[in-house]
Amino acid sequence: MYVEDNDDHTEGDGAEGGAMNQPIGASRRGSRSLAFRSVIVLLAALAGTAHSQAPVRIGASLSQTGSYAALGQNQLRGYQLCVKQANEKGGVLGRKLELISEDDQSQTSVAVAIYEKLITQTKVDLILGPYSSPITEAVADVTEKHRFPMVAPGAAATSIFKKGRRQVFMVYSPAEVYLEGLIDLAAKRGLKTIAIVYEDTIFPKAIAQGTADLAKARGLQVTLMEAYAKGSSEFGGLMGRVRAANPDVLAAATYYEESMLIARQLRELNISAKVFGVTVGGDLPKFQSSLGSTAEFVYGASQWEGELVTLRAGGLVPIARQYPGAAEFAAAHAKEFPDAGLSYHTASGFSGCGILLEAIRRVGSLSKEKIRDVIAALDVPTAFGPFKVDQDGLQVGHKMVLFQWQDGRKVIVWPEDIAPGRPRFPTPPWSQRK
Amino acid sequence: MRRPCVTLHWVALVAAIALAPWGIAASPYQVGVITEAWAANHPAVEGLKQGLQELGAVEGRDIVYDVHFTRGNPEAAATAADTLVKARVNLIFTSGEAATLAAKKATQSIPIVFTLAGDPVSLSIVKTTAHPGGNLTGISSRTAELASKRLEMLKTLAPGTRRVRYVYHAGDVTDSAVFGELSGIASKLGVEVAAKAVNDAAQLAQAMQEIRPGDALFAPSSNTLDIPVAVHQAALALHVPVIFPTAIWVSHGALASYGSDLRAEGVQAARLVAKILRGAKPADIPVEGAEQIGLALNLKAAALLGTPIPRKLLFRANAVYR
Repeated sequence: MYVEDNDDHTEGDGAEGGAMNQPIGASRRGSRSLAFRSVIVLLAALAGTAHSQAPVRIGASLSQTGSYAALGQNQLRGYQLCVKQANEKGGVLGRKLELISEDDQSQTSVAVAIYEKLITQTKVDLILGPYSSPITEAVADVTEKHRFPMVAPGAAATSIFKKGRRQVFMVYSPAEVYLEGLIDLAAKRGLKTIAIVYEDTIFPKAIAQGTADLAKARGLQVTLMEAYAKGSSEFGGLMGRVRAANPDVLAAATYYEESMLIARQLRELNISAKVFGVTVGGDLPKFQSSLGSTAEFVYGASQWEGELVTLRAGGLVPIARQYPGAAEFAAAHAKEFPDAGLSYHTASGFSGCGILLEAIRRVGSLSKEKIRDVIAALDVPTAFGPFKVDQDGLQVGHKMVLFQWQDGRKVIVWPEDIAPGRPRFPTPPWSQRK
Repeated sequence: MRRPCVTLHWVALVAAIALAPWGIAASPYQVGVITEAWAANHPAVEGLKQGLQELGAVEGRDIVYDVHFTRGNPEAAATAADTLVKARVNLIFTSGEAATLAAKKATQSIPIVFTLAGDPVSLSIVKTTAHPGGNLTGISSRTAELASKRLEMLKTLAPGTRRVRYVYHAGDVTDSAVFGELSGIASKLGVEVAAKAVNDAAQLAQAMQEIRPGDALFAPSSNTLDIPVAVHQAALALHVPVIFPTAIWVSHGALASYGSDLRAEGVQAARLVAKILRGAKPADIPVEGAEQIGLALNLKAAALLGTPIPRKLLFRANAVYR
């Protein structure tokens, strides 16, 4: 367009009248000009083609080693599937997608350095969030500084979104409502007391506080609320205090390793609660395969289960339309990663990436400010469930589910209107279990 | 052959009740459940459990439920009924016409408490609602009786509607009776009711393809062939107004419903179940009409359709979903 405009201007300068009145010389100049213009247009077209073939590069850091490795790998698989599927359909804006991910070793400082490098040196076009709330909290300052919108499919701590940031968007249900189902179930069964243990980091702390608030609102008394240090491997002392509190409900705001260790120590120390629930990691198949019968009766919070696409509210109304593409996602996951268990972290990563791509399509360019505005206003169902954020970027559309390990299977037991199973309640004392 | 069986059953039941009121039963009552749903958590079944719990019965200690869900398949309902009769349950609770008819056919001795039966007299489930006779009593959803009002509400919600599509299972007595009710009032409302009774999935698919822009949909009550789901999905996909007989569809995106509350029917029926387990005979317990009849509206669905909901309906609604 610039070439065309410039040439029109030149022609206007060289002739008073139209083409019929032009002198020969002027005509020659016109011929040369035409040839020149054709070359420029051709070069511009070639340049345009080359540009359209350059991939849209999306950067992310995900824990491949360290304490968040198992779940970080799950989220990465979600990103990879999303990019693969998008590329099979032609990418976005006529360009292929390229995912550039690096291992943050589950360390916030490493993740901060990775995002800084991705944005300033690698010069990626856009970014996606890391796994875990602590790491998202750390890198959000980097993405905020550079005004890169960040869909954060691995962060559920509300505090991240309450600091006036404009660029970070939650995909998960917030930490505070993780164990809403557990509290509802306990309150409806007349339980009176609850002990809450949690890792002393941002996300489990938020779960613990939210759970305590929910419990109090439903008339339960919090008889113990105690944190343990990240990386703890010995819970004997803490479990001793749980035993002394003798709660009806034990809620553990954990990550995967600790959820297993606590479950084991409850058995070893013969501590029984009528309801025992964990948060992150309790949903993984290896939680059950590692613990065997110790996993039975354990409740777990889940952001998403593959089974949701087949469930019906009240046994009548299919709810699959709240999770469009979920069945296809699960099938693609099984094909692409046959040895990997399907977890909600993967589904969240897949849909978080999909939200970013949807925003790019709606904007029609890679304008980060416009993409940010579109994400902030989206109200869409995804394979992971509804996506809608409030003015702080806090997720308000998505809903949790509560499951219980029953006969080696995860059975969704809450919300009641969609739950195909009923809780096995109360959890029998260890002496009465196999 | 049957008479001694009936006598024996009642002697055993009355003896069990005399010896074992709630809380001190030697063994819990076995309550068989047949629902046409796709999972055990049908609202009427959940309502039954809630109602009995409110009456003091503790699940596991006083009552054990054996729930059979038949996925809208009448043949599966017959199989479930036979299974429960062989298991010699103390009582059978049913939700839906097909489940009730299957249970009635399977036993004349085990007490049956039904819910979601549109018109139990027309269905020959009972002789009269005041004196049921036999081994059945329960709750009438008043489905056919409320059909005219439901159509009127649909027309009020979508006043431009000229044709209302009504697709129902040909074998369903209540939904067939509904067509009669609709035919009687359609001309007064200025609409044509295009009804289609279907026998199988192919006919259902064909009927769904006949829906055109400008139509409105009137959903049946029976779950046979999963027709309500087909209607629900068609309404969402084609952006046409729809009304259901019960609110659960409205809470999941349908425009409106007018009729009995499924869970409330279960709670209501729990009183009858408790009476029977405590010694009363179904023959002597009048059939009750559903107590909770309500209008439910979905504002988001209305907005998507561009259909403003009249203020008079909003004021009248028992449940409004946003």
